[in-house]
Amino acid sequence: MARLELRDITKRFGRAVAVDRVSVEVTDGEFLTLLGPSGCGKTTTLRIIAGLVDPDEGEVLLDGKPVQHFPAHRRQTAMVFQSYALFPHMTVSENIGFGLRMRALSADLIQQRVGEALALVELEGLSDRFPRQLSGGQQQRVAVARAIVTRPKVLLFDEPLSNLDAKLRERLRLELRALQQRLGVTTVYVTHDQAEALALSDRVAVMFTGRIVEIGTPRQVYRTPRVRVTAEFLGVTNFLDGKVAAVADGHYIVQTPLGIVEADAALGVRVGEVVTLSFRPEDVRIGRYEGTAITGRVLHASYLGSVTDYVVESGGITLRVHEAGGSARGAGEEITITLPATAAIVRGE
Amino acid sequence: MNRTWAMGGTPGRWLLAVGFFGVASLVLIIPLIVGVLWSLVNPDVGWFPPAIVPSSLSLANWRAMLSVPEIGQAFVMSFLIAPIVTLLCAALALPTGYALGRRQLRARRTIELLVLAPIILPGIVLATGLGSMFIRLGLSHTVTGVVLVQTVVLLPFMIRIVAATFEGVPQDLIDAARNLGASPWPLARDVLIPLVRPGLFAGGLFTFIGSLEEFVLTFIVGMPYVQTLPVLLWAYLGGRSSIFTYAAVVTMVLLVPTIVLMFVAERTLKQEYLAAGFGKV
Repeated sequence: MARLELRDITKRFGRAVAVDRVSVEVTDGEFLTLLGPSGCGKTTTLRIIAGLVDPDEGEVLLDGKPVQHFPAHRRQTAMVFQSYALFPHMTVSENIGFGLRMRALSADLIQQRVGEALALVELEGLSDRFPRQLSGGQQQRVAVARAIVTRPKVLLFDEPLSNLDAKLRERLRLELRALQQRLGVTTVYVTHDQAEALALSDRVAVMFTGRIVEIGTPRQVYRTPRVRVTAEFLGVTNFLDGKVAAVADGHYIVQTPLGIVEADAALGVRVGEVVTLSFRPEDVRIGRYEGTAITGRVLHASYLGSVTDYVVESGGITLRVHEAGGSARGAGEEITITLPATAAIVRGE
Repeated sequence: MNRTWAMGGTPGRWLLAVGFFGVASLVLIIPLIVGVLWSLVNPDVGWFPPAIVPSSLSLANWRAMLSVPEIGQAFVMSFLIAPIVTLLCAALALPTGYALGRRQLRARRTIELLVLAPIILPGIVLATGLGSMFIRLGLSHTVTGVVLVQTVVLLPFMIRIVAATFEGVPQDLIDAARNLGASPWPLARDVLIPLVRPGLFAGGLFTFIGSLEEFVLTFIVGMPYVQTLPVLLWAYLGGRSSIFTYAAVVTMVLLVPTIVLMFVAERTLKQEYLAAGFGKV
């Protein structure tokens, strides 16, 4: 268990900048997720922490001490790979015990710890199988067991669930989170799946083009993103331009073409400034409630099971609206919607 | 793919099987039978056209050949040199194959060309050049000389196969091993070498058989003291006169252990592939 710190990490591949001055601190036992589209530098950042890639600039610190001079095999990090990277010529227990053998532990101790790890991931009966005899989910668990058995200071995950089907992914997501909390190990998790990031993390760092553009709790980055790309990447959102009309009780009153919408306090926004608001489809309610109610026309409706997704047009502006359940409104229908009580002010183009 | 095979139905498979056995019998089985027959021809009667099989068979050739020490010595020599050459090639091909297969080398193309040069050159050119060099180095007529010269021509194949196998090892496995605390030597011992073992086996088999049947260089460097089975074969087929019957016996002596070896190797090789097969990685 340890505190991990990245200071101004930069990595270039040829002319392309893969990681661009990334600085972040992960506290002891924290679960931090690096979330971003493919090619945003999140996996490279993870590999830099593991020592598998050397940064061009910047420092990695563990408990305040630089670890840059340690080669990968002495970093005390343990990584779960997207491909699982199980050794095909070793059995499950040999795979799990690999890290312990490398640390020259006694055979008895290795056997005991491998047994514990197997129990932890509920694979007791499979210790003598080879990886190719396991299902994808089982392989994933072996990879997790192999990583945690060495009791690393930092646990690293590189999209560990992306090769599994949706149902299994969801279950293993819960298991991973429970395991991490039980062990209390500092964890950095890389994914492009926003649902995974929100469900697992203490904090989410959103990465674009090699930079961390925003970092916060899952609630913060989802509900009150500060950057337009964050709002866009984390699910469906509505953008609405408006002018700040007044400040009241730490809230902004924003005049939009659709009417007044309140926004939460964002730093450094002045009265009279033109801002972009972001709010989620589920924040828009169908019907007339307190707040700004407008009428619109349904352009398109898609039934998604738990919600129905509407594209609503009003005054030349289209909004996405989610309604729980399935009161079927067809395309062309006139409806009244109430804009959300608060929205987030986002920056960037 | 499997589906298409099954869908192709029985006629397609039968045709393929028949074709395969046709070719196999033409290039393998028929020559083998003719070889066996030649070794069993009764020297008093002989075997002349138009007889399809010899009219009289005997073990006279075998008795004659086995009564002289020559063939036994050549056998020992062949099966002494082949394993040494194989081990030497494996030991040399491992690091070279690793460098070519896994490292980003700037001069990779050039190195590959140099490695392959002995294959591209005609054997006789190589033989004359190396032969004179070996005389100067005092390696002519010695087992060491023959081992070295065979290694020169067989190593390229070994390196090619081992390099290709190294190339096929997923980088994630190496990264995972390092991440789990493997320093370079344990990484090689516990992960890399086991993963390229199928390539080593396949390359080793090629090298072993290549060594057993190598003639030109062995002849030029080794004659007259180092006599392997192919050199002895030449003595009966090209040197004094064409004594088909004796040559056939030598061929059998060379061929039978090779075939047995192939079978054994194929068995173990299959196991190896299963154990080291890259599974779902």
